[in-house]
Amino acid sequence: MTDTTPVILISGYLGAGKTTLVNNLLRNAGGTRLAILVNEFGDLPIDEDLIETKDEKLISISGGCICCSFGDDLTGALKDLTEIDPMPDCIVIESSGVALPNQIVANVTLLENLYFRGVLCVVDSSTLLSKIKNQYISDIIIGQIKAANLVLLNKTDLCSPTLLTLIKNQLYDTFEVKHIINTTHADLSLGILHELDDHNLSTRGSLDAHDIFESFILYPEKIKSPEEVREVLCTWDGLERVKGYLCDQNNNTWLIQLSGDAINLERLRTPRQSGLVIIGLKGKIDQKAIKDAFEKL
Amino acid sequence: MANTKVFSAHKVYTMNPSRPEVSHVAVREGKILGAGSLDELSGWGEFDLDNRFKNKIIMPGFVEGHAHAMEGTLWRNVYVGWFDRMDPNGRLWPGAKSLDNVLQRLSEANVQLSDETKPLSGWSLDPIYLGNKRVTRQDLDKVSASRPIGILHASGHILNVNSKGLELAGLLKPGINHPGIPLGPDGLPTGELYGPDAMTPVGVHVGFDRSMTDCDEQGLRDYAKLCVSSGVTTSTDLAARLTDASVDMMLRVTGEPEFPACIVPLRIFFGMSPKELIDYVIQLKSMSTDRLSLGRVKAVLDGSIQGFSARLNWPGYYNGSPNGLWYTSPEQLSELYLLALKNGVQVHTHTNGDQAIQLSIETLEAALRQAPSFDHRFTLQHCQLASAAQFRKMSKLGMCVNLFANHHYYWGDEHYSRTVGPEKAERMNACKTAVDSKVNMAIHSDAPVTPLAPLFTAWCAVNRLTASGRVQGSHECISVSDALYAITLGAAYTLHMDHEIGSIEVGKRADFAILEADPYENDPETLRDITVWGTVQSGRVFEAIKS
Repeated sequence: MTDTTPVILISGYLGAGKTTLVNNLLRNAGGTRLAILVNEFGDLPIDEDLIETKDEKLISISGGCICCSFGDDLTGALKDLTEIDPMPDCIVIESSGVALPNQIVANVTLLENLYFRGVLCVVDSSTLLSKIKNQYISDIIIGQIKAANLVLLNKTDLCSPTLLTLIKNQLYDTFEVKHIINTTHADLSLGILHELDDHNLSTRGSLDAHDIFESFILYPEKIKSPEEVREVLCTWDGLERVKGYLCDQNNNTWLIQLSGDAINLERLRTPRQSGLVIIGLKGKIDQKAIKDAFEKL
Repeated sequence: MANTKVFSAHKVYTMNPSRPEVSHVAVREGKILGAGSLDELSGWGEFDLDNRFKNKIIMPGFVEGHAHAMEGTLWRNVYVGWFDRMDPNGRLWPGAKSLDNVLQRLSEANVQLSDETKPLSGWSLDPIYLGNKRVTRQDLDKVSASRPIGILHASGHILNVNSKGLELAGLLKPGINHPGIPLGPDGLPTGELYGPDAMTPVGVHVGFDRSMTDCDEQGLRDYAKLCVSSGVTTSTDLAARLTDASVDMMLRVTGEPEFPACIVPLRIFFGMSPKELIDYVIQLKSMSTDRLSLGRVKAVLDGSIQGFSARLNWPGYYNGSPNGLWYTSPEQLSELYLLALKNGVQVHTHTNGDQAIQLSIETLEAALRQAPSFDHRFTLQHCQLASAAQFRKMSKLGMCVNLFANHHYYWGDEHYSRTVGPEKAERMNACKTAVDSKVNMAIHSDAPVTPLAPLFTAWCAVNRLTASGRVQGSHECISVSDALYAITLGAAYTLHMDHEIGSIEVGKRADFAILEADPYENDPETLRDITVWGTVQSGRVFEAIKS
């Protein structure tokens, strides 16, 4: 893998915040040489202050990054990038708003010297519910979401907490989304892109090591009833994921999983030692308060 | 010599209802001075009488409302289609009726190529007619293992290549996982490549490069020869990029004294924002000449039905394939329509599936509310699956359609059994419903997808026969008269050119199709067999090349 360049696909419908995300990534590239591929330069893809030089097909960006338009020939554009010396550190494709990722992913796999790392789908939370009811585009949007390794749920500041809960439930339950990150202005540090494949995202370590999440482990005493835990967890904002085992006073073991706002409790036959991993947005969860609440159970 | 010429004919069909049939037509300065009796026309003064068409039929020059001049370029490759087809030099290529036939034809061409590295390219393959037998790279390797070989399918959506072609593209390897690249039992690609994503990387090595949809200089001249031999005096080039260089080339070539047709290229909505595009097209319009009419936009909304990329309304594809793709997003379409209406630019929109048609109708209705426009003539191209309700709505909104009558013949059986199922297949390209709903209608070939031949297209719309000989949707058959209207005035209207061309009446351009037989008097089933002698374009006479 050392001499191959990772490729990441940013998908999402028009207006979801893909371009804002790309600009944020470029702004915070910190020495990583990104090559951004956009469908077309139509409506200024890159903030003016980042641009060093620009021609019809290529924009040079301060810090060694570039942005190219691929038009109707993505394969050709990718091929051109593999011939640049030295190759970029990472290639990010911003797909058109109506494209489905599968085909693009398949195309990347045809090329030597590239490997596909994952799909990040940007979703405008403020319009999602109406868009997935729109007969013309619902299947496209759902297809984009389902194909994603990670959903960046954007513009959450434009949604009420209730609406956001509704959306997240739908993303997790109906669309089988595995990972969601909330943002207001498509803010995402570059680090998460390096962990985009399912394997890394599924590993607890990689998520809590990342600077946008924090995690801690609790070893609760025997609880009275699992329903109490559910009530406690519901009261905390900022929780992204909770997973672990709890034992109740009757020596039953419970598997507890929180994903978004959905909390699942399942009784297990084999006893396990109590222990919970709690992951939340950095600075948004109050570890001490959560620990205190569990001790009172 | 007089500056007026009068052509006599067995009959002149004018498409002008006030004098539909006359015996003579007078031409001055490339325009029609009058259509009538010799006696009536002699009132205009001195003239030369030209009797060369005295046993022939003169009709308004045919207008092809949806074709691609790249057909001219494709003829430099080997034709391997199943149907007989005439090349620009008048040579009739008999259909290749078996895979052996196809390979033999390629082998003959292979021997004639001296340079061993030069690719050998063929076009118009259609495995549906070869018993649905897939062509493999091993088949093509028999023609040559050392030279890259590629054959484009009739649909334009599939490319077959040999092992050398795959090798040059770096694809002759195991482990490929791509929906457009099927693998053989050996784990290597079979050589069939589906869709532009799979075709493009190999295409460049087998003679089909990236900008294949644009014709080149020789291609444009050759395309014009096909126009003459099919009676076409005005043809669209429906999806052109119109770069500075290609506009320059087209202006130069169409301006040559012997160039026999008026070409109408539409700038494709791609690679520019709607605002940039509209500004660009307005600028192009000012460069128009009598033989190159610029200033219109073509948008592509969905894909193709046989490629399962068209957007269908519920219940979707008959074989359960997932719905197709949007090639332009609803938001972009809306922005384009509004800007175009505000600036008086006409948009033709490729729509195949009934959902794409519905979106186009709704988008235009909303745009019209913001920018009322009384004669926009926005045209839906192909519009193959439109329902009766959609035609009624299009009529109310002042939209036009250009239906793909030929499709019925070439792929009607396939649509019936596989793509959209019997009910929708029978209403496909619903010419009669369009006429009854008073939607202005043209019919087209989409050359090179099917051959440029308006009389054949008319025959398709009149008879609705599929290649297997079934009448599919007899209710949608139209009269010969309606069909001939569609390939003349109907098509001219969709281009805002009906004041200049499309009928033989005083003041219009002297554009005629010269036929050897009478399309109105003969059996409608023989419409496609009528020989075209050639054309008159702007008063200049062009005889079709016979080999």
